[in-house]
Amino acid sequence: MSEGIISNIRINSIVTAVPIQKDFTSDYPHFTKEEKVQFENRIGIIEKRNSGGLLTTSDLCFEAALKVFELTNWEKDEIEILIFVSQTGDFVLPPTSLILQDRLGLNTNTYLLDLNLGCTGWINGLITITSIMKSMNFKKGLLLCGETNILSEFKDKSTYPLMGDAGTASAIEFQNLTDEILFEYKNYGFLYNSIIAPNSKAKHFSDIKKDLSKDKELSLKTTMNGLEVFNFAIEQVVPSLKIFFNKLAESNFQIDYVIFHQANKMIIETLRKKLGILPNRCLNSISHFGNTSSASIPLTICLNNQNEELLNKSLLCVSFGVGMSIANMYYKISENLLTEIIEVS
Amino acid sequence: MKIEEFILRIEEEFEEIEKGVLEPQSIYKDLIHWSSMNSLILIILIESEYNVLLNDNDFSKSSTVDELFNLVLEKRNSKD
Repeated sequence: MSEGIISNIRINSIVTAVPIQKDFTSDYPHFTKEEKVQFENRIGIIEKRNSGGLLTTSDLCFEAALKVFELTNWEKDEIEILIFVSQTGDFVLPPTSLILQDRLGLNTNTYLLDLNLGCTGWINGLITITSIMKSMNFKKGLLLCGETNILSEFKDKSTYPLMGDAGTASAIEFQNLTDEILFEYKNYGFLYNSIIAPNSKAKHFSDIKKDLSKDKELSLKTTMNGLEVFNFAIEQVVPSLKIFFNKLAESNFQIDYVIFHQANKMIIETLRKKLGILPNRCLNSISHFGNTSSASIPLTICLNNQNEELLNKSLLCVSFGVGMSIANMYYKISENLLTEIIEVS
Repeated sequence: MKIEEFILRIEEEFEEIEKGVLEPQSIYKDLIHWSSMNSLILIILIESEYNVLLNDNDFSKSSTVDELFNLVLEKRNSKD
C-alpha cells in the first residue's frame, strides 16, 4: 500500500442529501418472493432512496452544499476549491464542478475539478482536495461526492436493487490545527472489467468503428461481477487492512469505529469477521439507503452522528470497488463536526 | 473433510433446499434457484468453512455437488 499523512486539515461539516422518495426491496418486480427475503436478509437492503431519475447527482450535492453553508456560516466567497466526485456528472462536458460553481454562486477564482470515481471516491477525493489545499495554501474547500442510480438496468437484479441515490457535501478547512488524516491506497487496473459500463463513452464509438457489424447502443448500463468483487475484498482488502491495523496499533492510534464502504451486507460482514471487529464497532447505512457508491461513507457518518455520537471519535474508513481500487483513511472526528441528512423532493 | 458434511452445510445455508434431498450427484444449480445472489452466498459459505475462494470459472466447471466438492478439495490441497 502507498500511504500518506495530511496534517492541519479538518472536516468541519458533512451533509448528505437524499431524494425523499423511497424504493422498497419488497416492491421490486423482478424478484421472486424468496429473492426479496434473501435480498433483505443477506444483501441487507430493506429500502433505499431513488428519485426515479428526476434528480441528478449534482442536484443532490447542490442541496447538500447549501446546507453546509448554513451550518458552518461560511461565506461563498471564502471557498477556494470545489471538487465534484461522481460517475454520474451532468454532461460528458463541461465538467459538473463548473455547473455547481455557477449554481452555488462561487467566485471565479475558485479552483474546480471533477473526479470520475466510484466506491473509493470520497477518500480519494479527500486525498486530492487536502493535497491541493495544502500546496496552494487554500483555507476552505468543498468536496461534493455522490451518485444516482442511472447506471444500472431496471431488470438487472444484481445492480438495480442494490444502488441508492445520495449526494454529499464535506466542508474541508486547512489551518493551524492538530488534526490529521492518514491515508492509504492501492489500485488494480488489471481488474478494470469487474465493474464496468462497457458501452458508455469513447471506447464505444471506436468499437463500433472497428467492427461495423456491431450494432451496440450507447448506454450507461453497468455490469458487475459480484464474485470478483467478493474475491477482491478477501484477497486484497483483508491483507491490506491487517497491515494498516498493525501500523495504527504501533503508533498507539486507537480505533473507535470502522466504516466499510457499504457494498452489501454479506461483504461487509465477511470483512468484519475476518478482521475480528466487533459488530458494535462497525457503522452501517446499507439497510435503509443501499449502496450509494462514493457517498456511502459520508452518509454513514451523518446517519450515525445524529445525536453527535461520533464527536471526538476515531474512525477507520475503508473503501474498495470499481477500478478495482482500495482507499482507506484514519481520522479523528473533531469535537465540533456538523452533520445533517436532508431530504430533497 | 467429508462430502456429507459439505452437503449438510449447503442445506443449512439455503433454506429453500429440502433437508435430505441433496446428494453427491445432485445438480446444485437446479436445486438452488441459480442467481448471482446464490452464487455469492455459496462462495461466502465455502470461503468461511473451507478457506477456499472460488470464481466464476469454477462454477461453470462444476455442475454436481460432487464436482464442486472435489474442486474445493483440490484448491485447498494446492494451498497447503
